[in-house]
Amino acid sequence: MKQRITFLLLFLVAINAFAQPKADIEVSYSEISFFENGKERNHKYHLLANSTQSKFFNPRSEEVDSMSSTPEGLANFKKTQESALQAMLAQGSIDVTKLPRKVESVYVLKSSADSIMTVYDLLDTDEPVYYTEPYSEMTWEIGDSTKTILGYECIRADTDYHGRHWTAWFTPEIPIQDGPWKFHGLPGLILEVRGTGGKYGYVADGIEKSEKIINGVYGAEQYEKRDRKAILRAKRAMRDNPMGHLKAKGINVEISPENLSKSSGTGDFIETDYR
Amino acid sequence: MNRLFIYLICILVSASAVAQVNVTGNVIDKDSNEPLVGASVIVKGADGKIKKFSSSKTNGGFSINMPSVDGCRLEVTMMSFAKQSIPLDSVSFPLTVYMEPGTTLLKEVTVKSDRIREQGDTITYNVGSFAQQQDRSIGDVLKRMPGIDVANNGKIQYQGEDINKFYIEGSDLLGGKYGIATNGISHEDVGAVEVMENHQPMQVLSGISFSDKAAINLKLKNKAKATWTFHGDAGGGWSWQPEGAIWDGELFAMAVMPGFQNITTLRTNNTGENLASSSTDFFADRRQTGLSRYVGVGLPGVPSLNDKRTLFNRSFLVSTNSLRKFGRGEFKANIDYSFNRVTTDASNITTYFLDDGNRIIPENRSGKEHSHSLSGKFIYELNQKTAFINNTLQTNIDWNDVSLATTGSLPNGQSAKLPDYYVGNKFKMIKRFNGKHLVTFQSVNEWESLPQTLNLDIDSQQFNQHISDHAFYTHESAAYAFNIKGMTLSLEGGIKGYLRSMDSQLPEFPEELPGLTENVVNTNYLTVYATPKFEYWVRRVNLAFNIPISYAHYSFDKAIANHDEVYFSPSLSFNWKPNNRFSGTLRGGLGRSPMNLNLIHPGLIMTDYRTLKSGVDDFYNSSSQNVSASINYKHTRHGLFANGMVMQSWNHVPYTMAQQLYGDYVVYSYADARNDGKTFMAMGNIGKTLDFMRGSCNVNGSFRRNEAHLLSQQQSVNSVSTGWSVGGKINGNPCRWFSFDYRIDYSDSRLTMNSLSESWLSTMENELSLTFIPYRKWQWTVSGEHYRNELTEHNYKNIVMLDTKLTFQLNKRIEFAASLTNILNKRSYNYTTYSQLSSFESQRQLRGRQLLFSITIRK
Repeated sequence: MKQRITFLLLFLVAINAFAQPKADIEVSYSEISFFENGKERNHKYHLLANSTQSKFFNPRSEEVDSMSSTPEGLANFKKTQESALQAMLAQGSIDVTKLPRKVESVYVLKSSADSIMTVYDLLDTDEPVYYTEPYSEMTWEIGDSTKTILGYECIRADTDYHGRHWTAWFTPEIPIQDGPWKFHGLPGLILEVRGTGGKYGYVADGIEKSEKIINGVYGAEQYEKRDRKAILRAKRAMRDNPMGHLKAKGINVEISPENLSKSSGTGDFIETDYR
Repeated sequence: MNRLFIYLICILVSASAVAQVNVTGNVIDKDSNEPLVGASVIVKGADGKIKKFSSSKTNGGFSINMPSVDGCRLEVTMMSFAKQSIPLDSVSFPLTVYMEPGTTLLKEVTVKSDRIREQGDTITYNVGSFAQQQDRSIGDVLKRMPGIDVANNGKIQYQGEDINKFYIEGSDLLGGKYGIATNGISHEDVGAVEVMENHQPMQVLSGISFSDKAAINLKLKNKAKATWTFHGDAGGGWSWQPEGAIWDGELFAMAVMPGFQNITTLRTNNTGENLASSSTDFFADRRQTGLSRYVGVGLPGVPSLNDKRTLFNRSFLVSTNSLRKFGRGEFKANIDYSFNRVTTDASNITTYFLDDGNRIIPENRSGKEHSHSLSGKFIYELNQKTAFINNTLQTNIDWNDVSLATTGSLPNGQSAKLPDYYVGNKFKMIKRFNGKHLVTFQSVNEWESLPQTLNLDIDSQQFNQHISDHAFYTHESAAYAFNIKGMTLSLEGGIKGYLRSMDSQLPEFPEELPGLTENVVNTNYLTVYATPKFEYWVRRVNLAFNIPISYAHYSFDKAIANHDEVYFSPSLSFNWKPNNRFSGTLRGGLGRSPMNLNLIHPGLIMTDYRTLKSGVDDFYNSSSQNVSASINYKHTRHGLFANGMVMQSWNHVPYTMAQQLYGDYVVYSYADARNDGKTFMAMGNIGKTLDFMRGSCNVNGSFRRNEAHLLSQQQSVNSVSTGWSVGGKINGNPCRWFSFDYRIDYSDSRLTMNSLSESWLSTMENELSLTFIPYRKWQWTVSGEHYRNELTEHNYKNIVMLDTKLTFQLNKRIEFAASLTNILNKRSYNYTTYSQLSSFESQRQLRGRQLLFSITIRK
């Protein structure tokens, strides 16, 4: 009996030692972003946050990553990719970039204890990369305007951050100094943020109390550290020269030049300070 | 002293002028007396506006510098605690703020979950609300729907991803060929478009193998469910060689009715376009009946040149695909018929290398081939949650009639009838047990008959050879896979049976030939096999181990002694990916395999007018070993990609092919020998993006060395063939109205026999294509190819081909094009190739200048 109690105690201690941080709230955001041809991307993200840390992610992408992080899941994932490859073969051309994969690849993990955020992303289709950034790069100017979002009274704040001017609406009613993507550092949760010109932004469309565990990124050891601007420059090169990229890899795709000239991108990334 | 006093006052005054109030303190949980981290700390002015803010750090502390705190309040908030509000006018710092538990009232708005679901969500779009005046096909309207992209060839993407199924009224009629439906169906016939997200086409796999792809289903309007739709293109023009009119046309028709669908296409041309490739079944498995033709009367081909330059054809193809629903299952029938007439004229000089001097045989050949092919594929499919059943019955009937007239040292006429009859049935069932366990059963039965008749007319002598060859193959198998702690184990086992009989007769044959010219052969076997596979992952390493083992009983109907064999061919692969830029793979395998059963025939079989083959008269096994290594490197940021591969393989065959000449006849036979072959191969490729002009460049190289032993005229021959090649490509799109593409390839090869080396012979190819888009509706392409072939040492043959094409798009329905190919009207192409024991020089005719006008109409 004594032994059993000791075990139980040990067990409880162990549980406590591995206790993972629980979220206070879960917020869903719609991303405002557009394809080169002007169509909306319709990407959705969730924010799990408590007072000291948060994770910004797409639940479906996370599910893909959690699958891919186990051999069984990966085997299933490969099976799906194979069937997609066969479907492409039947259509006569293979485009590796079009194989099943997560669409929204970004994760942002923030930790206010050490004032650092970590951004996980995918370069090309298969090169996981990450970078860290101190909180200090984002400073806000709080304004006078107010507006109501999802029933919360929000106050306007402005910042110039990594190449764009942003207007955010935060609510002191929710005392979590966090927000979508890398946005943080206002005395209340950010429910909406838009870049000048309206080409980029996030709008909250759901908010709930949550006790979900804020775990890390699946397969975090696969990600390699890179410079933030270098990642953006690489993405720019890929977007401007998609055919060149495929051909350099040795993949030949027939696309008529008439279609190609269409994609001379005028749009830019959410951060534009990489040039 | 006075002065000092004044100074002091000055200092005090200035100090108070820049006086800062440092609002500091600690946030403490009143219940536990522990510091609280991450509380929101706000200083509000008298007007209630936020003046400054911060948050409590690890020790619960906060610090805010204020110029003044007159009329200000400090507000501390945190989730699950009641808000504390403290006037700052009459407090001293550091403050201690005690937080009492309380509820932060959230006005909750449901967070929409975005999880993967088994059958996904269906989004329905009403076509009427998206269609516009100028739209014609459903593809035009799909482009307007959010998240959907349609390429020119009709390929659909949803959210940037290719869709995995295209259904019409819930039925998958076309498989991957749905592009003809996107461009063919009028939007006025479609009522609604359904997008099914996360669509797993095999219901039995749902939840086990997930799909992040979408499927599209077209719901047709009632009025469209009983009519036919059409589109097509037509072209006509003139060719200088063969002189005469040319045509190129296509017609498309479709009917979609409830429970029945049909799509039919018709194509014909004589412009050198090979229609056979357009009716290729990408999913077709290799036939296991294992028959191959002995008679080799084929028309001379031209390697390394595009078909379009050398094919003198008249082609016709009709393909009809129907689908009918029966309850929960569906029945599909795909029937294709094609006709091809190909004519060729060629001159050859064949040199046989012999120790007592070379033997040279010149010849001119003029041939004609008529081929008809009729194929039918009948599929029944049942797609349920607990089982997936597919039965495919396939029949193929081909008739190939070849006639070839040869002049030269051995003038003759050959004609061959080479029909092929094939019936196969494949049954596949996937059954799901206890939710997660999948077992696959398969049963394959195939029958093929390959009769061959060769009629030969030499010096007004008639020879007539007939071969009958047919086989039946049956294969029953079951497969199961499961995972244990990072290791995947899969097991496939089954039984194969094979019955084949072949007999050949060449009643009258040239007297100088030795041996029998009659064969009666039966080659049968029964095999039981198991193929376990292990796959193991540890962080950056993947290890796969494959150990197929089988027992086979071969019986040859007393012609040869029966054999019982055990085959074991293990292979191992090791993949290492230390980081995301580099990956390396090592592979190795060894094993034993049975010989090709088609080689068992003791008597002679004539393959063409001057070649005869006699097979082996015993059953042999061969063995082989191979090792290979490959590496992959990429640096995405620099747009640099490289890969390389080296391979070495050895094979040991207990017989060797021998070649003997009897007068003008060549006889190949097999003799017992220790025949060891060795192959080394290396290749590499480097690619780099050229972002400044939206292009890229590639450099590639390869090396190959083949060593083999042969027996020729009772003497042992050690032959070594060596070859290497390098190539480069560059392309770019420097401005909106111009793009270019250039390619160069250079290769060199040499044959050495018994340390006697031939000279190195090289070939070089250059290709350049320039495209101009002066105006959105106009497109003009000019392209050229240059070939430089070394016929004999330092003796080169150069040829340049030029093409141009102009396209004008009048509107979305009508497009005009004019093309002029082979502008320089080059009519012949010469080359030399080497086989192990002979050289072959040829002169071929090319398609001459060709002018074609065409119009494309879409409905």
